[in-house]
Amino acid sequence: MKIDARTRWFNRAQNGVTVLLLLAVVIGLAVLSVRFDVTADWTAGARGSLSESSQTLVRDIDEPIRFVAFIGDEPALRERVDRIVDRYRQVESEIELEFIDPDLEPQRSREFGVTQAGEIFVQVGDQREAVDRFTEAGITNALARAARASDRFVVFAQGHGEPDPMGQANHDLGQLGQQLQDQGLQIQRVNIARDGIPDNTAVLVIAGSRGEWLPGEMDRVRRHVADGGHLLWLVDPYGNLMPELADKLGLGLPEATVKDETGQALGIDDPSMVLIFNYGDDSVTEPMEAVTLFPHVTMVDASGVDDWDRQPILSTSRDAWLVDLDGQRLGSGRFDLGMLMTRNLEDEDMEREQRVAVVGSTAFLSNAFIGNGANLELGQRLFNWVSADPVTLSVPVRSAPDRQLDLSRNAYTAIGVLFLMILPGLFLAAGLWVWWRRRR
Amino acid sequence: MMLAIAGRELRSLFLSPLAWTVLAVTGFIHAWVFLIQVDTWVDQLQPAFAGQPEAPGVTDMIAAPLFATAAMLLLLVVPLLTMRLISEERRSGTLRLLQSSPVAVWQVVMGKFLAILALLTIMVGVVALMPLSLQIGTQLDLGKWLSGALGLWLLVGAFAAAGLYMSSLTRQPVIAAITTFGLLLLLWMIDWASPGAEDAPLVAYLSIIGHFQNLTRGQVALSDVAYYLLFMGLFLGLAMHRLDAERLKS
Repeated sequence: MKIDARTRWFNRAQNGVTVLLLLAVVIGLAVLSVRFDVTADWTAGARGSLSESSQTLVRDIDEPIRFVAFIGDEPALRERVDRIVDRYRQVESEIELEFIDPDLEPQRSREFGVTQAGEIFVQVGDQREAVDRFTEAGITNALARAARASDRFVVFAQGHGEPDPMGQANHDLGQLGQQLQDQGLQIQRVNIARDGIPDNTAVLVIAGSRGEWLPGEMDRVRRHVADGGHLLWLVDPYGNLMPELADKLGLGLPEATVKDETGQALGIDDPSMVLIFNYGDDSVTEPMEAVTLFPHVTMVDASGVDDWDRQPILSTSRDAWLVDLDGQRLGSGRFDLGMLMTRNLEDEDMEREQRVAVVGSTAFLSNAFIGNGANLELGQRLFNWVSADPVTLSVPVRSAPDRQLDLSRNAYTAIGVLFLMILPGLFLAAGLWVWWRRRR
Repeated sequence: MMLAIAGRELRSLFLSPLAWTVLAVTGFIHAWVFLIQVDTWVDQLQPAFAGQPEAPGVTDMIAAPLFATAAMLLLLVVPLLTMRLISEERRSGTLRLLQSSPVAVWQVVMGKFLAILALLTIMVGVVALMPLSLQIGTQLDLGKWLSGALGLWLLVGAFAAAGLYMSSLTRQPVIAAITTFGLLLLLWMIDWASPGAEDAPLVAYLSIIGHFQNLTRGQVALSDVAYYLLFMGLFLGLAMHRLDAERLKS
């Protein structure tokens, strides 16, 4: 073969084409491998990927999912969060994760109501939920809450002289209603006699009824409770105490008002203004610190409740007394102004907790009084508790199989000596021997 | 023929003190790191994680970090092992002999690659054995351990392929080592400027360490394994092409 300038040029061109071909093949295969990717999870119990129930949930959500983590510049923590969110990304690659440094962006922290670094939120569409425990179970349930939140209707029964949850008059509940809507709850006013109770009612609210209820209406309410619907019931001592409903729940609501002189410390001379300074250890009021103020309140007696777990809230001082509407003194001592009642309902594949909250006053949430002390906070907490989505998806907790290492002292020493001395020593000896043989 | 070249190459590797010294030194360093991690686990992590749901275990906190350390250490070591593979032959003139012999170029390249891969397999094996020895005291997550070891093996294979190509470009082993190291380091750090795959998927894909990290988590994805196989294929192909072109010129 004679080589001249032409064949040389030809060779060079051929070289270039070969390299280009090689590159094209490699890039093509790489694109294919990403396009038709399959992943196998080799971890024990597949703990590196999502459980079946989480996968189903993520697939069923068609709105965009977003995680917002308030974590400062801590790579290890961020990495851990990213890793768990990654499991969700394997199912739905569009999931976003945003890290916010709470020190650098205080206004975002305020917007989310973040109190401490390390809080994590999930957003489905524009519904936001806090993740309480950063495990798969915690995240999946927060996702489920957020996904269901957009159709959580808080239904206010109307038509018996109740205050209007959108109204601006002094006795109305407009300020509270506005707050609840800002939190993402959907508020509906429903005339039960005319329209019944909608199927998608998350919470039925009966607040401050004054007029009579028709028997058919009362049946609907009782059926709602019997079927496991949540109920928030705020009575008005001068209004309709609805004995039919009280009997159904086993509660005693006397036609009387509680009086207490705790207010004098704050210069309130009227003993029918009951102030609560100390709260119990229940989930609703326990974190509260500021005082709450109740004008015209009756007591809630739960001694007749049998098939519910009950938790009294808002206890007066020991020196409170009870008078009937004519001013007759009925008794004295410590009274509970509210009651939280729960019971567990078993469906076929999930557990639900039914929640009922009863408070012996409506006026404490009215526009006239809601600005006092922590009344607004208490109202929000009550609504949050009773409208919470206590459905819990069962996500199996899959722990690492090797969380306990039991090495005897001897085994530990043996491992150390083997890897630190014997193996390197053998390699070194072999190297020396080879070197020595070559010298000879 | 390919295997004959691989055998010859292996013999010359193990008849020089270099391979043995590298094995001894890397083995010692890994053992040191491993024992520190075991201590940390026993003294601090195990009590701290007690009672925490979904807390990591021995495999997560000892095996996976050890493989990550090994990846970093072998990034420094592999270029030293591959630098002589072809440049040395070129300098001593034996490359000419190989090229004029009836052996196909691909057999030469693959033979040398297999030899160095055999040595690296021993190294990865020694590293992988360390966490495996803890099986006497616990129930290791063997699947995760295996995918981490597989990831490390694929990663050092990719290192070696890149080193072999660089060695085919020059007659100076030191230059081959430095360029190999530079290339690998660039691919290692390529996605540091844009963390997260959302804004720059191509950069994230190119990262030589990202795919390895997925494997150390026990997630064996076709695309991650394919990345390393394609990486090896590309650089071995380039090395063959380079020697082929040289053969025609001479």
